[in-house]
Amino acid sequence: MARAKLESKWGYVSPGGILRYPEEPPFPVKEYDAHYDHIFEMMEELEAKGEILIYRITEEHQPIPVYTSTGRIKLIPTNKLWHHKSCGQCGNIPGYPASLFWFMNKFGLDYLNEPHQTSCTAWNYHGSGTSNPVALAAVWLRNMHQAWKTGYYPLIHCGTSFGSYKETREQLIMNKELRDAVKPILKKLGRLTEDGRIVIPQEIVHYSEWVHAMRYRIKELYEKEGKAKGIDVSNVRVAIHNACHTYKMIADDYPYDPEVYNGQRPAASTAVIKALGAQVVDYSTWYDCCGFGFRHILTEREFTRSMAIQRKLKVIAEEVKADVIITHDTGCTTTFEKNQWIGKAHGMYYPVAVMSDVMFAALACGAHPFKVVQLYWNCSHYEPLLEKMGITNWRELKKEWEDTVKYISELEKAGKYDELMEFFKEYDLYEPYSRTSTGKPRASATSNMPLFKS
Amino acid sequence: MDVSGDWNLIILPRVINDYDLDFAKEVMSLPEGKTMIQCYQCSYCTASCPVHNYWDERYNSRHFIHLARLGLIDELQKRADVMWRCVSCHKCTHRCPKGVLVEEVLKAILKTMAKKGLIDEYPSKKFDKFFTESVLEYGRIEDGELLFGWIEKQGYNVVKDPILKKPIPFLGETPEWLKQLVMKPIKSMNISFLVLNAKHMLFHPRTKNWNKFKQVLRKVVQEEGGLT
Amino acid sequence: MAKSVLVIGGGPAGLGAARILGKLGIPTILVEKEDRLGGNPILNHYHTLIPRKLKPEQVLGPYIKEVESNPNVQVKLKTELTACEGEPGSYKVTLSNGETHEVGAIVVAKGFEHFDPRRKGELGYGLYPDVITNLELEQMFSREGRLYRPSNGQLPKRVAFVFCVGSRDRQLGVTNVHCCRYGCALSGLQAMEIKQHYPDVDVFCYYMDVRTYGTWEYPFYWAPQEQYGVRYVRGRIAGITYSPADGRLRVKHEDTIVQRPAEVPMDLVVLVLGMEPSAGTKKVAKILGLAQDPDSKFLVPSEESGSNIISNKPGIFIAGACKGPIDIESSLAEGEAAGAEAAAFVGAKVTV
Ligand SMILES: Cc1cc2nc3c(=O)[nH]c(=O)nc-3n(C[C@H](O)[C@H](O)[C@H](O)COP(=O)(O)OP(=O)(O)OC[C@H]3O[C@@H](n4cnc5c(N)ncnc54)[C@H](O)[C@@H]3O)c2cc1C
Ligand code: SF4
Ligand code: SF4
Ligand code: SF4
Repeated sequence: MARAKLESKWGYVSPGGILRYPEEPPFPVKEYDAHYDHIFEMMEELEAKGEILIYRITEEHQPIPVYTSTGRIKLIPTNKLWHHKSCGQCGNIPGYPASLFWFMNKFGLDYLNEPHQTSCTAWNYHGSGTSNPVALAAVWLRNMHQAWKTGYYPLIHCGTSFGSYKETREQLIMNKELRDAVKPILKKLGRLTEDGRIVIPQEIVHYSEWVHAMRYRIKELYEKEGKAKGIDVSNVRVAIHNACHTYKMIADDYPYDPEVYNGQRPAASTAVIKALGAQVVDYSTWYDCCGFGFRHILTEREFTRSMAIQRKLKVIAEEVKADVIITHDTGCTTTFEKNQWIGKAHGMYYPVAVMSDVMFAALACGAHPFKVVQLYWNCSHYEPLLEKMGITNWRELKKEWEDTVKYISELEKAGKYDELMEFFKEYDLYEPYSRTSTGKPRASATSNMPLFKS
Repeated sequence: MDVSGDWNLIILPRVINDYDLDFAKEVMSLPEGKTMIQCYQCSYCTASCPVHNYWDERYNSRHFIHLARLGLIDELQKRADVMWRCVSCHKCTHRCPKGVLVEEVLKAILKTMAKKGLIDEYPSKKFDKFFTESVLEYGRIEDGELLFGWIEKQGYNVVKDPILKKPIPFLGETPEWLKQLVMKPIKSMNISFLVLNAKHMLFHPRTKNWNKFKQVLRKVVQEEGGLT
Repeated sequence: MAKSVLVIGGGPAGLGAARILGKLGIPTILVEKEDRLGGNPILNHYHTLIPRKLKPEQVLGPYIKEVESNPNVQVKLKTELTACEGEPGSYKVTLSNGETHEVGAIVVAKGFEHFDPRRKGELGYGLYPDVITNLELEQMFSREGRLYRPSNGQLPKRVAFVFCVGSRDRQLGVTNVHCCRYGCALSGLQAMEIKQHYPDVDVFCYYMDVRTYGTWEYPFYWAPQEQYGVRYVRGRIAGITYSPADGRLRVKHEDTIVQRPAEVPMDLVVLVLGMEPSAGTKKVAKILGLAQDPDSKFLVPSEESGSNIISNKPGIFIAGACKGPIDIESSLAEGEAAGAEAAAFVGAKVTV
């Protein structure tokens, strides 16, 4: 195929335009001749043959280019996004997606918070190995088809979904058997295009890539609104934990940047923390996994907690005394959070705040620590961090949130749903239920489906 | 549900965090340990070694050398139960393509470990001591006493003669294997030989003038470090 | 008079070719991109060379002198080949200084480039000052004459050599799967040099295989161990990190003999760099239509010929590291062979 014959990939643009390289390497890239990148050309070929439809990123999505580890230009759509949520995130760390929605509202971006989506099922796959490539591909393509139908571009919240989708796409492009196996399933589900093609997105995009691409706008917001509230993160010591499934799974397809360790380590999260002016501290086990381990968190937690405590929390405490560990995935965040307490019983207590990049950024930009970032769900000590960030009035803010919850539950108990809806209109809460693909506005927050039901 | 069964477990990392390089220095400061430095881990020695081949694959001369050179003490200790098993056949030394005096080096490693209290004294050394004591006592090897004295040390209830307080063969508890071992040849043995042996067992003959000589010898052996 | 010969590249291989051509009385043009002759060993200030433990000037100095003083050889520094037309036996070549020449044969000796270890992010080169390359260690010796940790200027207590960086590695794509050939031996030499001057420094070599082939086995593998106590540990270093707690680096690997993971503290870590075809080699392959290995992009000899200096183009000969990793002695010898072949090709009548 075309790529293999190229003298140099720099400055190259594929015939269909979805594979692009800058004129010069942006940093010393790992591969001169990236075998993974080649799948973009293969996608173009499959599209020309009528097998697939590439769901393209257009002007409407206001894309921002970033570099991957191979030096490829990856377009990150920033507008008109279809939020593909994470199972563990919404339940365990609701402030995580909420912070992301908050930013999108702040920036006036259009998005769809879609209930018609399924889990990626990759947790099952990694946890027990009982799934298989065909099933994973079917689930993924079903979700992508749904996004495509709505015209909103998929933004994937979960690191594992993101990694799994990247891997599934590669397998699908490389293996005709797989495409042939998955097509009849999609047909039955009504998830092919009218002319019988599979819908495959041009780029698979993780929310942390969105945060990365938007880091300068986030910084602007911080300067304008966060600092006005007396927030200052310049003294905050931040240890970064990069999630395995974002950057080690299909390692060629994740952002790298000359400003982040000379392009030698994944850029997302680190770059936004740096843009905000906080201190990124390096520690010796930065590359280690958190211990979550899918199966392990369910059935072999002694591994999870031992790994989290000894390979991460202890090292971070002893080597760099970070104020916060910043993550960009669901599993790592919960693992670091919830396992601190077990260490206490073993004389291995290394307290540190834990949250995702977008939560930290939202706090820095002045988001409400409880209403939006929902830190009350955290069990690690986040209070010293808030103090250090200059959010010294957190006690009042907490009280305000508690009063609000009380008020809402009173209204709910009394069955005053109309009043409740009026209240939500005024209440400065993020607005995740803005629209669904059925076109009905706020389908979820109605009297038959109250938002807070105990 | 916790399938693993232990909610309260913490697993400690099995990462090697450092080397103890002084250990190797000590081994190589011994004359018999010097050639350890030459080993390039080809495993010619281990492949040849009868103990590795027929006893326990954890007995591995090449591996011991690697562990000793980096000073991975905990790994050496994991093998402490087999490390004494060398039969001193010297096949290893005979074969080594790098001229390592393997058998000697292994002894140097053991000696260093013992000196540092990293390994229990090896069982055969206990017998050696007992053996030496017997020789020092009588100026000769007293078979019966050696055998039954050793059996007593192994925890058997032997019967002792009231005067000399030495075990009387076969009167007390005797291990089954020993009975069988002895019964077979006894049937075909010359009666006068048996009588002689029985006499020796009871009367413990000594080398002439042994008492004087014994003191000198004990002193010399002690100075040579032979009694420790 | 015989037609002239163009030699491209003034490293060991190019020098070998130009020297023999000059000696045979063939008019020779030697173009070198840099401002001096000698190739990587001279340009990059190597310290002591395997296998004879001589300085680059001692090995290559006489060649440079001979080439520069031979009236048959025109040395053109800071010059490159930009175009080539014509037939075997009469190539019309254009140089970057605007000159054109007609030559009967060409010797290509454009050499190699050092692997850029920043492409292996997990090794922390460029992030931690005490992670250096073996080239930088050579230069530390040759320029400063002492061993130190760049982070604090002090003598390291422990030094680790990390073999095969940028070699034998499919993570880097298909381009770097070859063995560098010199790395194991040079590390043995560098390790011995460290021990000679600083006997108390502990030196470790982390390897997958030790490839000190041929007669290099004793001087560069056995001697470092037996005479200097250099320790060899089998296991590829999978990551280098830094612990702010003690200011030392950690080399992460599995000791494959013990079958246990290890993260051992080190004060200085030396990356043993692989070799890649130089940019010039890739460029000239295009201009001259030379066959390249599709993966590594090194030049490959003609399939019909048993000799590895005969290219796929009649009248064009290839020598040295542009064909793949090689040592200096062999580069010189290949250059000489290629020069002699070129002389024969242009029909030189040699009388002794
Ligand atoms: C760190 C290191 C240490 C080494 N140490 C030893 C050692 O101790 N002993 C040993 O035997 N080998 C050693 N080697 C290998 C040795 O460097 C090579 O064998 C040798 O340099 C190869 O010679 P060469 O002439 O083929 O290539 P090079 O030395 O690379 O010379 C090529 C020349 O061509 C020039 N050139 C490139 N492109 C162009 C162009 N477009 N136009 C004109 N000129 C061009 C270059 O500037 C250069 O002068 C070492 C290698 C490395 C990486
Ligand atoms: S034979 Fe010699 S060199 Fe080989 S492993 Fe044994 S001691 Fe080492
Ligand atoms: S001397 Fe010991 S280590 Fe050597 S081969 Fe014989 S039994 Fe094995
Ligand atoms: S010569 Fe040694 S260091 Fe170089 S690639 Fe080969 S094995 Fe690795």
